[in-house]
Amino acid sequence: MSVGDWLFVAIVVAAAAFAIAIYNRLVALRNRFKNAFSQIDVQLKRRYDLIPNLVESVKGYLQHERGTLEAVVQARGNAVSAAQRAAATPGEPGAMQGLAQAEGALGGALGRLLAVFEAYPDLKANQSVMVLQEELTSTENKIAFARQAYNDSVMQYNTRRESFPDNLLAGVFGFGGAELLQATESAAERSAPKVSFR
Amino acid sequence: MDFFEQQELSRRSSRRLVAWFALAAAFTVASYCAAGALIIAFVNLYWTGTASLPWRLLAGIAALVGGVILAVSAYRLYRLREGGHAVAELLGARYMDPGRCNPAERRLLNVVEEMAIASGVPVPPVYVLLHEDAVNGLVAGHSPNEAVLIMTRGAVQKLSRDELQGVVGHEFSHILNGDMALNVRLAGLLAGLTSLGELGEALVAGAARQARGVPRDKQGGEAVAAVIGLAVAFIGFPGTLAATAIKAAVSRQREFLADAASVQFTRNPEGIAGALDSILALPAHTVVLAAHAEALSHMFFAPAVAHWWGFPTHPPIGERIYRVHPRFQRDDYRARRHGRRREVAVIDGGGNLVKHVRTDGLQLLASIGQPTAQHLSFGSQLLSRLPQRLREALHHPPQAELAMLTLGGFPGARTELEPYVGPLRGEHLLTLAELAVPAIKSQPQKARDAFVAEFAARAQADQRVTLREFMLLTYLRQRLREGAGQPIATRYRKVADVEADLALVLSLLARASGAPSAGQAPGVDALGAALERLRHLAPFEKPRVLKACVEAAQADGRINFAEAELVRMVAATLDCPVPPVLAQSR
Repeated sequence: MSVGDWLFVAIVVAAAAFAIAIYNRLVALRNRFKNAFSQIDVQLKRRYDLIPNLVESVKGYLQHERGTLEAVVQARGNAVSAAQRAAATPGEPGAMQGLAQAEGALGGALGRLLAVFEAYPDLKANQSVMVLQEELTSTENKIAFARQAYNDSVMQYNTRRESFPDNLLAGVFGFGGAELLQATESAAERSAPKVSFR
Repeated sequence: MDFFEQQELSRRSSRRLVAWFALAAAFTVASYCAAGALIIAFVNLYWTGTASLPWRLLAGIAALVGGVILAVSAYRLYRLREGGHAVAELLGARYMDPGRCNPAERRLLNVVEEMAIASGVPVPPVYVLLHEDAVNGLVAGHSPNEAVLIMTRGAVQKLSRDELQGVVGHEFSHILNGDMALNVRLAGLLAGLTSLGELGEALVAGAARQARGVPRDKQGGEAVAAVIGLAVAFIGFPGTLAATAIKAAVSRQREFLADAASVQFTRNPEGIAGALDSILALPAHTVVLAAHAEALSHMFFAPAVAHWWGFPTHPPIGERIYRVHPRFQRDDYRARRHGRRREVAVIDGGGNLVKHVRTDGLQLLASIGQPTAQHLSFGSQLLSRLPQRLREALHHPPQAELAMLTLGGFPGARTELEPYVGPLRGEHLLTLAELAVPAIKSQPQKARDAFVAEFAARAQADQRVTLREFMLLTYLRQRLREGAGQPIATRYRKVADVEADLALVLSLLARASGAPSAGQAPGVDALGAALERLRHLAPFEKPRVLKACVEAAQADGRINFAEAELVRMVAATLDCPVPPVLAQSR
């Protein structure tokens, strides 16, 4: 083979290596945000599991707050089904938005319930309720931090995908854009908790 | 910089560390040899008259000291090869079993899990130093996968949830950024240098502990042990000093980084800043008493050993708070966190209780020159509530002058601004004056003087000057005089030099607070002259004057508006601006 041929082969090999490097990097980033999403998933499940216990243990004290309790239970049901839809296709914009909305509603309902607790001194004196409240606070935090970690990794992935030269090949390899979780505040979430003093 | 870069950087500084250690060890050996040579030279001079040196003996000392350092370091490195658990064991910490813990410990474990999620680091096992009342903590281990988190009991119990989150986030930064692995190696290496000093300290402490239960005449043995211990500790000083120098060089910058990373994880600068502030505010120290704390002092969250000598392992707490949260409102935070805010009843002119002010004299004093967010929003609220007509008037010099003359409320001189100004006369006298001053001040000095003279003439027109007129006049005169806002020449060095003037001002305050008046009311001219002299007091003496004023004003346990405004007037005269009293009903 002549020098020209060798040069041609070298260029082809270099281009292939370059493409492989880009591909691998994108795969790593995609897996990272998928893993981050599964973290949220774990915490959300934990929240779904905690809620029935909590509702059960405070029901006796909160006869007058039946509406708040029912709102929590219903929001939980909606969130569970939205999460199942989203888990099938992580990063897919439509499902992510649905989940974000359902979770927002559940977060709001829980926030109101925790605020209602403040008005019931004997509830706050109950050891098991206090433990549950701490668990719930922690789970809420964990969800927030997991969302934060997910958004950070999605941002890294999207930045890489849209930067040159990765953007030339991302489409070819089928790396679609990933959706950030927005801080959704539904009307129900934004309304101030109603606390009655008697 | 990402995770892997940080880890690589830490490995490189690790190699540099070994060079540092060799240097420090050489310094320690040299200082021992020098001390030995001095002693031997003196002994020889005394016994034989010649100051010759037995070089072989000195070489022996060097070999012994060098050998001890190397041996102890090697042994400690060997023990620490297991990483985090070995450090926890070294400190005597107890492993916290998630299955069996009280609510406070449960909270800590939850916070640790939260931070693990936020930082993307595996959840480390948690240990607690059960016998430490201090607020402190550390992480240890060779790699993120086998790190352990060790917290003192004081930190678990005294910090709020957000503060705990800030501290744990700080520690997670040490895991993520590779400081921890570096620190563990550093602890192993430096153990040799600090070993002699620690041995001495342990002997002294042990002797002291034993001597407690022993009758005085039988304390001989313990006394000997203590003396030997002191001698060893003294001899160990060079090594400890060299070790602290290395630690300071390595750890100080990393603390700033970790504080910043804590905010990155928690997205809440108030957590870490609050934790640091609570160390200052609570009677909580950070000194860890456990053995080996000295060797590990660079790994802790806050200074774990208190030395008056050597190099600090941590930057000053105040600077850390400032770097991590430049707008941290210390007083607000403490009031919210520790409930250090008293209420003061506000009494109107007729003696009726109007509302409770969430401020006390000391806070009024503390707020001098430091308007808080509340004050600022109070100012903007007041501005936005002002009628459009008045707001415009305050921006045009002639109109602003008219507003001030109206505010004075001189009899028989009602102006078109009266309906707007009248309602503010009660509570916002000086605040309104403050808003008018910039416009009036924009005129030439001659016009300003003319305005002040006219104001004074109106105030004295009826042969008597009311308190309101006096306050306004003094305030305007102060703010509009030539050279207002510029440094004031010091004419009196001590409060004692202006004692009579201060007494006069205080008597005015006492009168305003409704104390039975003793003697004649102070004349306006005398008061003006007294304030003028106080103005020329040395700057560092002025806070004492203001403090005295505040105390006089709240002598009856409450501060009414007249008193608060008077204090503000005195403060303005002294050129120490006080924000408006926050009248906020609960």
